[in-house]
Amino acid sequence: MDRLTQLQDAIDKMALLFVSSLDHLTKIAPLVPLDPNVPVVSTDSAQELALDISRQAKELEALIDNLPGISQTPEAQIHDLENLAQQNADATVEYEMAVQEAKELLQDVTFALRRIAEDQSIRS
Amino acid sequence: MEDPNAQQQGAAFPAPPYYFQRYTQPNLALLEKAKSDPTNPDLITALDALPFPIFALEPPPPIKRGICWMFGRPWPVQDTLATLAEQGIEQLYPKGDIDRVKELKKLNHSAIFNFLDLVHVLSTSPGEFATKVDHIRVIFINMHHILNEYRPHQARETLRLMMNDQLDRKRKETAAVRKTCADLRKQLAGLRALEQDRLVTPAGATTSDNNQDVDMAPATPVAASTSATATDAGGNGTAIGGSTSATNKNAEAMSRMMQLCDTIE
Repeated sequence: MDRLTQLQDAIDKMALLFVSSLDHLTKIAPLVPLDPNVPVVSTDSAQELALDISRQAKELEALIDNLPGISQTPEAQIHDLENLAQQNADATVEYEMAVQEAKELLQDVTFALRRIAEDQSIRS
Repeated sequence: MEDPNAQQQGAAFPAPPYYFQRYTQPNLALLEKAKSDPTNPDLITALDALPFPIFALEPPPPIKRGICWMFGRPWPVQDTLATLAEQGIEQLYPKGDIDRVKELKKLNHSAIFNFLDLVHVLSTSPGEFATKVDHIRVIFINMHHILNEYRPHQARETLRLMMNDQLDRKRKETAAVRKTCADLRKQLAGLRALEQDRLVTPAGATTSDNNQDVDMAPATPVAASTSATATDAGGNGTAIGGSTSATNKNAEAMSRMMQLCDTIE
């Protein structure tokens, strides 16, 4: 998949992580001990969520680094494209000439084959 | 007699638009007259009798400016990317030529910091979250906008690569066709030499029904060239001139030439 789309998806994933981490924390809030004698087992979801977000940020940075730079101006690109279009047209003309030659040769060859077949049938 | 409305409700396809009934022969004649001579008074009275403007019979001209509606959504006729200012969003990165990579990284970091701020606000005074959420939104929109500006460039690059590809393929095909032609020609030349040899050596003087130009050189040089072509055709290198060996070489050459014919086709 091309890099621009990957980047766009990564940005969207980051936003999703923001939202889902806040959501998770509000819905499944870590427990607070009411009584100092009663120990409470609290899952450390905050740490995991923070880890996810920072990992996504690192991925984003890596993807940004891999972005192809804009090396040519649009005018230079259009010029290249016109050049290529011209070359393509020329190559097509040459290809069609070669095909034409091949067809003529094919006719010669079929004629020769027929003669050979006739000779052989006469002989045998 | 079925009610046409009921028929429409049960029909598989929607009915054609109602103005198909306008295309009658008299109306079309009126249209021709209106196009050629618009100021004729008879014409104008006739046109006023119609319940619709006469040029509604022509297809509508294509839309050149502004916005057109398609499938319920507005589409701009000139499909350009709207700048951020036009969309009403503040542009956080500097205008003009910028280093996209650096700006994107800065935006990335500020997104994280703003999220941190958001969490902080939510823990201290939760009612004031709206400004921070808006900041984060603006940052993300800016990032996406920078990427959208890449797209036309990417499209042109892809086009260039595809055209290069096509060019290469065409050139290769041309070369392959030419090579096959050259091979066939060599085979044909070999066979013709063979034929000359065959017609000259056994019968001595019979050259009548040969439609190829037979060189009436003495037999020995012809036999020598035949042996050369025999080794070329990969047949038995020992046989020189005998008619059965010529038949064998013919059969081999025939099969090879048929293979080459198939590649041409």
